[in-house]
Amino acid sequence: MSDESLKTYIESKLPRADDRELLDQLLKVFEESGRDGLKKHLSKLIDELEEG
Amino acid sequence: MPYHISELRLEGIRGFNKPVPVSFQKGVNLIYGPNGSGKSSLLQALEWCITGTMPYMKGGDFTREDAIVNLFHPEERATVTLLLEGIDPTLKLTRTRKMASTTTRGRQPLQLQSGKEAKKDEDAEKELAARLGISVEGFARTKYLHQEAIREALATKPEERSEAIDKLLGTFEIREFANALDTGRRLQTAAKNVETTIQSLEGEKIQFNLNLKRKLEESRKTLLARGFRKEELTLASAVDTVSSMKKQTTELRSALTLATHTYPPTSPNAQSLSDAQRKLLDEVPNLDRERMELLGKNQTRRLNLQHLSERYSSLLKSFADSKPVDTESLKKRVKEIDDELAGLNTKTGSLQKKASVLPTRRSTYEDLKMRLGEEEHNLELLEQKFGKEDSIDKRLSSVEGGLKECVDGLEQQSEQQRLIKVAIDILEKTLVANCPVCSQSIDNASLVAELKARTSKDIAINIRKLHDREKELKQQHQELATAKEDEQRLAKSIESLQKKFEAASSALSVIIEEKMDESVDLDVLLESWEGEQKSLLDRVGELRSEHKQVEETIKRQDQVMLDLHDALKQLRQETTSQAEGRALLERCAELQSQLEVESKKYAETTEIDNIRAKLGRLSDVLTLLRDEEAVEASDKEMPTISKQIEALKARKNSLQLLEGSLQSIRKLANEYEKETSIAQLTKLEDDINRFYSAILGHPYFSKLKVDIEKEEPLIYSMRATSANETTYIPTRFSTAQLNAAALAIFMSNSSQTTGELPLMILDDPTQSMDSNHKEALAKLIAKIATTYQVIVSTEDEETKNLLKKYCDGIRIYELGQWTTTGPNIKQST
Repeated sequence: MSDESLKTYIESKLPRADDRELLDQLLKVFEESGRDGLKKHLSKLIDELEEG
Repeated sequence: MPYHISELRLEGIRGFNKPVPVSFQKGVNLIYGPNGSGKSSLLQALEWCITGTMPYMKGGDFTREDAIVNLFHPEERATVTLLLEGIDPTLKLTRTRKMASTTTRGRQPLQLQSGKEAKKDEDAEKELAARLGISVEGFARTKYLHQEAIREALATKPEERSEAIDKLLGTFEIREFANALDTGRRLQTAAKNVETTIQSLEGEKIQFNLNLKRKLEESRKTLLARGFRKEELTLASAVDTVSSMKKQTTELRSALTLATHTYPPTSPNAQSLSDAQRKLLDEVPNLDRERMELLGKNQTRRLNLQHLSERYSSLLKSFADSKPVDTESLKKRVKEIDDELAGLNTKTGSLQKKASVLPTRRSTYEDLKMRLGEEEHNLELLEQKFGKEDSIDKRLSSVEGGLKECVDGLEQQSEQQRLIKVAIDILEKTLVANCPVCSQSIDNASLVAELKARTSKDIAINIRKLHDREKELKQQHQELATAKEDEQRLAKSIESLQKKFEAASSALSVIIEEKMDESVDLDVLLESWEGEQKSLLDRVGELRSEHKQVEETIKRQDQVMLDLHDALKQLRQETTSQAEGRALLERCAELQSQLEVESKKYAETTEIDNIRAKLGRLSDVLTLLRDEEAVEASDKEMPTISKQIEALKARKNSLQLLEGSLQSIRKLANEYEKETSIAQLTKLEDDINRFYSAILGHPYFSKLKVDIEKEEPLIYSMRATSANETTYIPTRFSTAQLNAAALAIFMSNSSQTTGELPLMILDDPTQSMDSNHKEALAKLIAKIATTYQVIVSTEDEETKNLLKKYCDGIRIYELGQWTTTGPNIKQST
């Protein structure tokens, strides 16, 4: 997969800057840690938001 | 001319322990060997050297150990070197890896040597990608068809098959990315949980504050209605009251002469005051109990004093009223009585002893007397019959003389008999037949017989007479001897009895204390003894009675003295006074009066009741003050709670935003996957059909149509088509069709992305094919090999033979049985 082309494609269709930042963050995590790493990252993020 | 792999050197990787060189040619290369011999490992080592990855070694057990480095390598190091020839200068790649904790961790640096130029690590990776014109991900998709990829394409579930197609098309990671963004209901649940916390804070804390205030007002009204003054319901007033209670309690302890008690300082807040109030209230029952104990002790002592003084007074009176007794003369009299009693007891004992012995002695005496008389009578009778002993001796001598004569006579008769027999014998020898006188014949036999008969008869008569006489004499002798013996025995017996009789007589004389003779009447004597004994016993009784009376008098006198002394001692102890008599009794009365006064003080409960009531009233005030403080604390807390609620709302909002963002990104990722897949399939369609048709050789359904059937997640449909018909492969055909489809997609991808390395690695490509398909594939490989370097691995002998048949100059490596040093490899033709 070409991460850049995926990123370019999605970014071009995301109107909110926050979402684009999030995409960038998620793609970095996916590139470094794969699917399981991304799932863990999201789970941790949700925990932080839920528990403060 | 592009690159081709000319040599692969393996050491310490997967099942290869010792260094192994494998040379490849440009055309077809076959790795042949049984299952588990290391074919796939060899191909994986090749891929690892170029890309630094082993794509199918992720997750599961691969995270528990290093599956790349050989387990038995002495340095725990994997080293793979690859020579790429075709473009000058030759590229030499060397990748190494030290054993790590998992397969996916650890460094595995690459060294690239190109002529004199050498690069390493990231520079080497970039240089290699630029030289070959392929990416890491692209190598697995376009150069190396893994046996796992074929196996996944054969899966029965459409989702799994679609993932396999994504892998072949190079869109699998987009799917993975999109799938990872699916958090299920986790975000909604988290937002709901935050909302619940918000509601809890709003509901509980704010409502709690309102309830506190309402309760406080109600309590205040109630207390005022019960008569509390307004100024009484203040903290200052409560501080004063607690202080006053401590003072009052201390004074009461002092008044009751109890141990003093130190109270801890009290802070001016409701809680501290409540603690002090509780401690004071807890002390009230103890104080009351101690008061009661003191009262009890006081009354007990007063009663004891009263009892002792009454007793002492009574004893003093008894002593004064009693007649004086001469104890010494009484004791003297007791001794006299004791002495007389001792004498009487001796006499009585003696009489009793004599009286008890007398019957026995008397019986013995009379028995001996009778037996002596009898023996004397018997002797007298014997003497009358046989005479005295000397007379019997004379008669015995005479009888013995007669007996001797009889014996002599019998001897004479015997001699006579012998002589007659001799004479007759001689006569018989001298017999004449005829009478010398008359010459008449003589009957000698008769004469001799007559002679023998007559002489025998005479002698027999004599002998019998002599025997009769002897018998008679012997009888006389026996009688006389017996009489003599009897007389001697009787004489001895009489003598013995005489002695015993005299002894018995003496013994009796000792008892009766006079000579025992016929004149003494023992019955009269016994009667006199009984009378004497009775008078002695009467006297003993009198003396004992007197003895008892005297002793009781003495004892009574002693007891009075002892009681008086004891009462005096106790009273002195109780009063701590050494006085006696009236002075002591007066001191005692004085003490009783004091104790009476103290008892009244201890019996008083007004003060304790007062303290208890005040503390109870204070408790109500403190409850109100605590509520006031709770309201203050709650009021202070309210701004913080508001901030907390705001923060929670912000978090909830963030969660909802995140959910929306993830949904948007995921949707777009799915869209991108779909568009990329469609573009890829469109681009590859002709090549896919070409390869599919070549492998399958189906007479009717000669083409393969891969379409998107469903979205999110993407599900592909694979259909075989003809000019007019179309049918779904999984429903109508064997798995060989799917195998062929996977090969067709891979080969089409590979043919369009050759870069500078036209290479196809096919790992076990015929795993579900029949002979026809294998043959078609062998022909196709032979054709492809004109422009591609092809490396095939198989355990199937038929595939090997078909490749040998159709691929000219094929290079074959056969892998034998695996050992810990690695598989046995040999090149064959």
